[in-house]
Order: sequence, then C-alpha cells, then structure tokens
Amino acid sequence: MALNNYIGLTGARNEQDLAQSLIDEHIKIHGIEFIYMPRTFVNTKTVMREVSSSKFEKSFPLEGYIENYEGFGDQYNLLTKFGVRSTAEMQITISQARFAELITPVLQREGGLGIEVPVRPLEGDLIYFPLGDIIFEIKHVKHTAPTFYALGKNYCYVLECEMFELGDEKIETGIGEIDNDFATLGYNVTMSLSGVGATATAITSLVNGGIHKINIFNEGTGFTADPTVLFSKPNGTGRRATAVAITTSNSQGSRSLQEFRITDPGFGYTTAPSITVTPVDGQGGGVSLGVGIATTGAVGIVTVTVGGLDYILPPPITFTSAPSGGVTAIGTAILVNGVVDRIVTTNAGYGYTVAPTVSVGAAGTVGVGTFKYGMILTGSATSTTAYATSWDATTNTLTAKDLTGRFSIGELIVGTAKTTGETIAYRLNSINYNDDETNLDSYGDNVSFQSEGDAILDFTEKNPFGEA
Amino acid sequence: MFGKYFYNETIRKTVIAFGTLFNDITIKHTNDTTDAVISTIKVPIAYGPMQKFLARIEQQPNFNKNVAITLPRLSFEIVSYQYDPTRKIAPITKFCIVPNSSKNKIKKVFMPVPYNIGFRLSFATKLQDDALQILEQILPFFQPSYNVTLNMIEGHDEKKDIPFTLSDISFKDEYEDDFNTRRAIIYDLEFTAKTYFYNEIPTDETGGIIKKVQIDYSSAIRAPREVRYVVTPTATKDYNQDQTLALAATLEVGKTLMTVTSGASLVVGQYIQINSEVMRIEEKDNVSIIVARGQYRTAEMKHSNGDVINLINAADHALIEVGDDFGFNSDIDFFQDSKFFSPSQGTDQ
Repeated sequence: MALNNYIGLTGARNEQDLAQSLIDEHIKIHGIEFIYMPRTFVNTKTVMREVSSSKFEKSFPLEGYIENYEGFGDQYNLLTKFGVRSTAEMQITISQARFAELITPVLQREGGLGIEVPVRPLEGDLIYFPLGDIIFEIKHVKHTAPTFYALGKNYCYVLECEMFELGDEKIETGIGEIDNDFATLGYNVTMSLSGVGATATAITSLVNGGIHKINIFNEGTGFTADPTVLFSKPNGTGRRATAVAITTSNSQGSRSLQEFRITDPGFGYTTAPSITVTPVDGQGGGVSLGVGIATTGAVGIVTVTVGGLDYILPPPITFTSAPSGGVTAIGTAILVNGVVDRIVTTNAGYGYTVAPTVSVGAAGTVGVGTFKYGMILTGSATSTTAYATSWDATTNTLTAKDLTGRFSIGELIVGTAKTTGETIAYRLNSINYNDDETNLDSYGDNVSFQSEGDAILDFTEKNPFGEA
Repeated sequence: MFGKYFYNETIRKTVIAFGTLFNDITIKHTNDTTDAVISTIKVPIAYGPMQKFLARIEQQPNFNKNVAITLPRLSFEIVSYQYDPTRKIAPITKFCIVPNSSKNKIKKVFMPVPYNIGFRLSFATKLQDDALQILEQILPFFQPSYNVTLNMIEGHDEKKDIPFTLSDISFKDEYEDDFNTRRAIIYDLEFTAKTYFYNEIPTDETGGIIKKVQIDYSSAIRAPREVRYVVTPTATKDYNQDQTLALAATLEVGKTLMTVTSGASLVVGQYIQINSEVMRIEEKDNVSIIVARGQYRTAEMKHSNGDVINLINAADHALIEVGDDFGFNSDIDFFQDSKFFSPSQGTDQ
C-alpha cells in the first residue's frame, strides 16, 4: 500500500530544516558550550584489540544541552580500594547539523586522527564540561533520540558520557583550562635542571702556499657515504693538505658532494695540488673539482683551546676580516656531546698578514627559557623523549610525561615547541621517577614503602623487584 | 591481665614488606610496528584501606575530580589472619635474641606464635595489555612463594624469612553488555604471608653469651673430680682497637720480617692484627719480629710504615659477639685432692 503523498510523516525538506533550526536554537538558548575533543589513534594493539595509545590535540567548542536535570546523582564519588573514583555520568544532546557544519569539515580537511575521518561524534572522544572542569568520555552515541525519525529525519545526537579514566593519553588542546588539569594528573617524572653554557675558544696561525678552497664544478653522483679525499704532496718543502668531503642526498636516491671541509690547508704548495676523491665502497664518482691555493696568508689548522659546554647546535665561527685584497676565511664547528670538538674551514682565505682572531658563537640558550606544556623533550645523549607538563622557573623543576626510556644525569634536556620550533635546553641534575608527590591524585605510596622498607627489610643480595 | 604494654608492629612491617615488593613495577606502551617505546608509566601502589575523610580531602580537595580516576593502579589489603599449626613450637620454649646495642648480651623471650596473614593484591588497568604486563612482572618471582628477610624486632638482631606465597589469581574483564557501562579490568592476586607474632621483649638484657665450658670427669657417680676440661673462646680478630704499637717499616706481601716501633708488648705466639690481616708472632728480637702471615683465613696484604698494630688478647676474647667466628682455648687439669666443684659457689670444695 502506497503512502499518502499529501499528508505523511516523512516530511518535506523545508519542514525538516525548520525542525532542525528550532532544535538548534533551543540548544543555543538553554545549552552550554562544551569543548569536543576527537581521539587520535597513536597505536592499536592487535590480538588484544585495544587502542593502547591515544592523544587529544584537537578541540572544538560546541553547544550542547544537558539532559541530567537531577545532576550527577547522590553517590557519584566512591571510595574504592584504588582510591576515590568518580562515577558521574552525563547525557548531552547536540545538534547533528551543527556537528556536521562545525566539526566534520575541519576533521576532513586536517585528517591525522589515525582512523577514517568520522562524520559523527565517536565513542571514545572526549567532552569537556567547563562548569565542573570535568572531562567526560563518550560511551555511547544515540542518533535517533529524542526525535525518532520525526518528519523522516533525526536531528540530535545524545552523547551518553562517563567521566574520563586517564591512562597515558596525551591531552594538548591548547586550551589552558583543559591542559592545566592534566599537568599533574597521571604519571609524571620530576626533573631538577640547571644550565650554564660555556663558550668555546680557538686560535689559528697563518700558512703560505696552503689550500685556499676547493671548488665543486660537478658534485658527482652514486655515492653511498662520504668519500675519502687525498691531495698530492707539495713539490718542495711543505706539508700535505687534508680535508673531508661532505655528501648530501640527491634526486637519484644516492648521494652527491655538498662541500669540502679543510682540516689542514698544508703549506708549501707552489702550484695547485691534484685532489683524489675515492668512494669508500667503490660506488659513486663523476666529480669535477678545482683546488685553489693561497700563496700567502691562508688560515692554517684551527686549534680549539676551550671546547665550551652545552652547545645544542654548531655555533657560528667568525674570522677577523682579511686585509684589502685578501679573502676572509670561513669556518665550521663540529660538535661532540655539546662540546666544540674541532673547527674546520670551508674557505681558508688568503692575504692575511697576521693570524686572524677566531670567534666562536656563544653556547646557545642553555639554561634560558621557559618550558611550556606539550613541548617535546629530548635527551641530548640518550635520545629519550618525553613531553613537558609543568615548569617551575624558580626552582628549575620540570615535570614530564610519556618517557620513551630513561634520561641520563648530566645530559641536556632540549625542549622543542611543536608549532614554532622554538628550542630551549637545560642540563639535567637529577630525576625522580616516582610521582607520589607531584601527582594531584595523591594515591601512590611507592616511596613510603621503599623508605619504610629499607629499615626493616634485609635484601642482602638485591630486591629482584627493584627499588623505587 | 596479660602484662605490660608492648607493640612490635609485626603486621605493619609485613604490610610494608609486601608493598615494597611491588613498588617499582612499570608498564610500557610500544608501537606495534616498530616496537619503539611510546610511553612508560610507573604503577602507583597504596595500601587500600584508609580514612574516608582523608581520601576525600587528599584526592578530591576541589569537590570534583577532573577525571574519574587515573590508571593503572595497584592496591593491596589484609584479608585474613589464621593460626598456622604446622609451624607450632612448644609454647613455653624460650630463645635468645641479641640487642643491637650490646651484641655480647642476650635477652630470653618466648617463641613467637606462627600466623598466616592473607593479602590481596589488586590492580586495575584501562587496557588488558597493561594488566598482562603487570601480571607477567610478578608471577615469575613466586614459585609459588618468595622469601623476604625481615628484621622482626626493632633494635634487635632478629631476622626471619617470611615467605609470601601466591595462592590464587582471579580477574574480571567486564566488556560485555550495553555501551553505557565502561569496561573494567581488575586482577586479584591472593597471597599468604607466613609471619610470627612475638611476645613482649624485655627492656634489659637477661644474660651474656656462654664464654666458658667446664667439664669435670670422675671415675664414679658422686666421686670427686679427677680430670677437668675447660674450653674458652679466643677472638680471631681485634675488637677493642687498642693500637698498642705501629709498624716502623713497610711490610710487603710474602715478607715475614716486620719492624715495629717497640717490641716490648709483643710475645711469641701472640696474635696481632694490622689493617684486616691477622698474624701470629713466631720470633722476636727487640723491634724485629718474625710473623706468620694471613692467619685465621685473612688475606695477606701490603702494610705501610706507620700502620697501627692491634693486639688480639684477653680483652678481645671478652668482646666476642653473638654470631662471630671464634677459636678455642682448651685446658686439661688432673686432680687428686678429692674435691668437688660447687656450681653455686664457683669454687672447688
């Protein structure tokens, strides 16, 4: 039996739009503004079928209507064997049209959730309730309530939420009142930092008949690693020059010459020496080079007198200018563990009459700057990473989460801002892997057990479980 | 009715010992493809029962929590006390314990009463994989028990091996049913600690350790003693740091001629200690001494000019402590005077 074409419940498009508009307006009048945070899947465990790591880095303000007119109920805070647990629940009604209009397009444009971009609110996403400063997790999304296909369409999502259980999820929405809640919740390590960088110093001398520079006419191709470099000896009295070749990736998928770094310009050359570039594994070639020599006044070997401390990036090397008619030398610093190990020249200059002064750039910004929530922290020696959660500039105390390993005492902790790329660094003095005191939940007693246990336990050999 | 107040804190110590076993457990989340570590979490542990008001003001100072709870968490509590008849010892038996403050003295106390204390260790996690990581870091140590040596009485050298026996594992993983209820993963591990409860410990020492054994032999019952065998302990190391004299020259390993500042206080046959090496004096000529090196199983070592020489003599014999290694002096005497030894007088009569 066919439906009545003139009077029916399926509704016309304009009637559906009217109903949607009325509902949207009702929510805007009587609702409050929540923050909706979609879940980004970082890692999914197979077999056990669990999302083992998630993060919440996107946030969208969205109006919603609270269905719980009786509040959270009487007994939503419970004392359990695992401490206080809140069991507050909330049902929030949001507009389907508003979700599709505000959130779906942005997610489709930006992507990066680790799953197919959703067109609806998903279970597992978070909702921030600003009035109570509470994070809820969506447990179930009802899409047919409360208007079950009225006029042939649904207009709302009812988000059935429970308070969020925090594991190691990273929450970095950029909204201070949300992010601040997580700075001291969950597992944090506490680091005591300091930083006093020291600037390196270096000296040099002049040579006559030394290598001035090496011009690359054809950078060659096919190298798999930096080739070795050999100069011919000077004809008469003198010293053979030495240099290292630096390669870079090329469009053919192999490597080509990028530059030469002169470690010793030699001396005593009266004519340009021959230069031989030999691949370390026989692969690569086709280079075409020209060697220039400086008859007088080239910069010789640069000797690092003080290596400095706490360099993060190679500092700029400056030589005092050569007299008129000469060429000023250009140098590069090579770092090893934050210390200037050696200084090489890419152009040894010529025409100097007195040895130039070598100026080494200051030791970066070690010990200066403010760690901000979410900054990626990297250990300079261990390459362990984490992210910063709080920073006390008075005591130089930094807390951090999501460690990929253990930091090493004495190494530099380099913080990198995700959006601006800003880096700051401090030296690690000590680190506390127990979070009994920093955790706002105030639950763990790991340290108390350890200190009390030390007085009464006799682990003559070793506690096989380890010591907190 | 039972006597004076005493409290040995045995249960509290057992709780601490149990908590210490599990206070350094961590879990890691790794990338399934690369195995690279994404995050590390040290699992907090606490004794579950606590004052309600304290829990509220410590864990919810601002009325509401920002989140329901942080996970994973370890919790444990005592669930039972049970007398253990298999370890029963005669109730009126006494034994000796040694106070740390005076190790050549003893106190006599009644044998402790054996009890089994039941513990339940629970852990809640968000992920099944987290729970498995915790479980697999615990199970290999319990076959099915793990012994912990506990100093049972504060201020006394009284150690007991307390086995913690893993007796049962149960878990619940509530993942079925409607979507409104969150998944709950909770493991319960049941343990039994075989501990001991001690009676009151006297505040004063009731006696010293035995320093002399004397046996009288006679040819007939109730006949006068004819032969006496007396054994006394001799110290095998220096106790009193007498610093009687010093070396006047370096003494190398393997050398037996030693030069001292003054040989007057040394006698042949006497033991001395320099640093940690014990030597016996074999010959003496003024300040030149011939010694036997490395006595009493001590290692020969080089000694420097000026190193202190300590004598091992009667003063050290008197300071031997309970549990120390020591040697013996034995004397045999023969009598024909028809006397008996009086234990009460300590003399022959």
